[in-house]
Amino acid sequence: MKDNYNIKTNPPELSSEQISKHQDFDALFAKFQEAEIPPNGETADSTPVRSINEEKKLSPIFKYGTGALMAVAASVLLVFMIRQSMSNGNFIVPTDQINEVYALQAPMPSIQKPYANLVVTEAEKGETLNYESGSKIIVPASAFVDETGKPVKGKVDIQYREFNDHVDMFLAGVPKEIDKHQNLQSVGMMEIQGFQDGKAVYLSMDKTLEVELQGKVAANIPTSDLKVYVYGKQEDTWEYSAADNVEVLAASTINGTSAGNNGNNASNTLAASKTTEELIQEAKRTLARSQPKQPIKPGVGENMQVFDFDINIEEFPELAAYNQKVQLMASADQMSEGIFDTLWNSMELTGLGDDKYNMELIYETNEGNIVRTFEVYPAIENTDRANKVYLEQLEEYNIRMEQWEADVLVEVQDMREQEAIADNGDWKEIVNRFKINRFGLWNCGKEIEFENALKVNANFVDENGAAIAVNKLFVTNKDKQLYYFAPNTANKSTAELKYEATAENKIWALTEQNELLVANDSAPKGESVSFQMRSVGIVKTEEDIRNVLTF
Amino acid sequence: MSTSKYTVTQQAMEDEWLEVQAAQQNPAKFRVLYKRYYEPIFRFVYKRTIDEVLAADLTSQVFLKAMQKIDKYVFKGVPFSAWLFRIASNEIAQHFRKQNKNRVVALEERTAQNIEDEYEDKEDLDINMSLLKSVIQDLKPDEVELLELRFFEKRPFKEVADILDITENNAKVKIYRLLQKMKKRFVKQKRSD
Repeated sequence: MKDNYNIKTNPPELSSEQISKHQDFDALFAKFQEAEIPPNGETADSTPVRSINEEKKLSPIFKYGTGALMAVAASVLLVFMIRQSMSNGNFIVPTDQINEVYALQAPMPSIQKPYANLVVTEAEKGETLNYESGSKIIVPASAFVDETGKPVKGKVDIQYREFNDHVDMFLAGVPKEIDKHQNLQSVGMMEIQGFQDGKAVYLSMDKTLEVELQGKVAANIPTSDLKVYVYGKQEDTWEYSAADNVEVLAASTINGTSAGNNGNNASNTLAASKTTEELIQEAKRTLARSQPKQPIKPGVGENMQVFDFDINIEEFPELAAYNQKVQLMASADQMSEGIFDTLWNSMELTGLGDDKYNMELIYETNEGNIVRTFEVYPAIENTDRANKVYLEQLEEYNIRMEQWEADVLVEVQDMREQEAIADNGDWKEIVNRFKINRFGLWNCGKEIEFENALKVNANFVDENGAAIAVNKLFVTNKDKQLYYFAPNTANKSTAELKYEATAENKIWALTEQNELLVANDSAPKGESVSFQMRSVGIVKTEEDIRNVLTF
Repeated sequence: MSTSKYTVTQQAMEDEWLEVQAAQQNPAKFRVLYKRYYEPIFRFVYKRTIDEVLAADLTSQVFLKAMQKIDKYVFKGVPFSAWLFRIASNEIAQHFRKQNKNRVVALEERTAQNIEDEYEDKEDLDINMSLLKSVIQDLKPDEVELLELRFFEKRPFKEVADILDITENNAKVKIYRLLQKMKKRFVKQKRSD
């Protein structure tokens, strides 16, 4: 048995009294007010920094001394600004957004995916911005405010970039540390910031930007599983934002050949081998057991023969539900005169489901039994009471049937996606549609678990077998479209590494001097695993990195 | 079953939205929402931790987060409690991830029977606790969450859907598939025993 969950059987129940003793709104409120004061100096006037200049390292004393001083000064400044704005203009200061301003820590600052500068010409009017990948950002009128909460007018520069694969994420320094951040199988990620005259702007509290982010997802992932996350600096976690509203554009094969109808309603194209009607019928068969049962109309239809039987109600409890004398009826067309002229020895009734029964009339002879079989249905006596019950049940049935038909359509959509996988390849090209309420790093994806992850003590050696110190360690798992890095490698030749050995992985590292090492081979060595690292040297371009890190 | 105070009528949701708007303007007015949902959220967290002190700590964290983020809350025709449950679910996942521990799943003796009752055709099934435990160990976290919400806590489909931020139809299909998947495993396990 696997050991993925800590299962506890029959845990003790807690009473309401036990729970209420923990309840303390005043303490919570005090904590809330405490947390509302910005925690450090990265406040109102801190402009996002997008690179770290390794050359300008400060000595610890100078760094902490200056940092503390700046923190105090900035806090004072912020409090002052809040008071000013509250008293002068009744604007709401975007404190939460200011506290979340985050600079990605790129491991190789000289190689970065550049930002596109998208311009909103008149912020008060709004605009739709287009990125080279085909992604769109719809900016409504008066979407931006400054650090005091005052509406921003005129030209606003939107700095925007997308991270499409593990190389992009690695170069940007996306926070994806294993066991610290969620393992997000990313299907589209973007970073967005806004500036006016070089100064940060924020989103107005009552506005959101609509984003249509191009992406791709492994074909075996149902798009209904995808969600949108935003990176939260304060909690250092990917915060869930909303469900991802995904449109599938096309499925493509492993070599990228498009099989869909880009931009159009691809679902018809994807499921070309089966008609919609065929898919609906298949979905109905799949969901047949959850289909609501139509109530039985009281009375006996034309051309039906009614039988009175002494039925063992314990054997057929569903018939007892009618709470009246049970009769069964069958189509008279099935009957011949001989049926009524025969003195049958016995009768067997078998339930077929959906209020249908199989009735076998058995006549025993020395030469064997003569059996006549009929399909029969319960007959309800046609009374006012029965008709009232029937109408109530019919109303409920119609509502449940409407829901069931909607379930069938969801199933059809899923089947189309599945069919696209089977017919057309490994990836689905998609558009992730979502709304953002602040600038920052947004990620569409699915949280996944490592099913067969190995946790190993890794030793790193060079091609001659000599121990080699690594400073930062990275992994990408192709099968799961997952990128992450190991914690605290800190210039040692050993590290704790977690990965799925059965998946197709790339493992690479940076030395303290930013020399790129790529794992060539691995071999068990005692209780650890030895990784032979090939040095690629200090790389200068993204292309060089792609040459070694692309699958 | 949890003491669910799930607001389902349109009127109740709209009334509650007014309370949320008041809390957006003045955080002190969050008190009424806190009092209403403290116990359901506490029970939700406790069922997934089975640790009273930890549950109190995480519940406090859930409400702190809710207060900090309430200005971003937008009424979308879904009860406010669904939003709180979602925050709670994320907090619990984050706790176990940071602690690098397996997440707790609480089972009661009657749960195996409840699951068995979901199947019309029970001939090949004889679900006992040991079998159920072994099948749960093979499920993915989102499947376990569905199982907890729908079958352990007996929440209606609409509530499950709102908590998971999916449509009601989608919740039904996912649960239907989960039951089918579990059934295969029950039969397979039983045969291999």
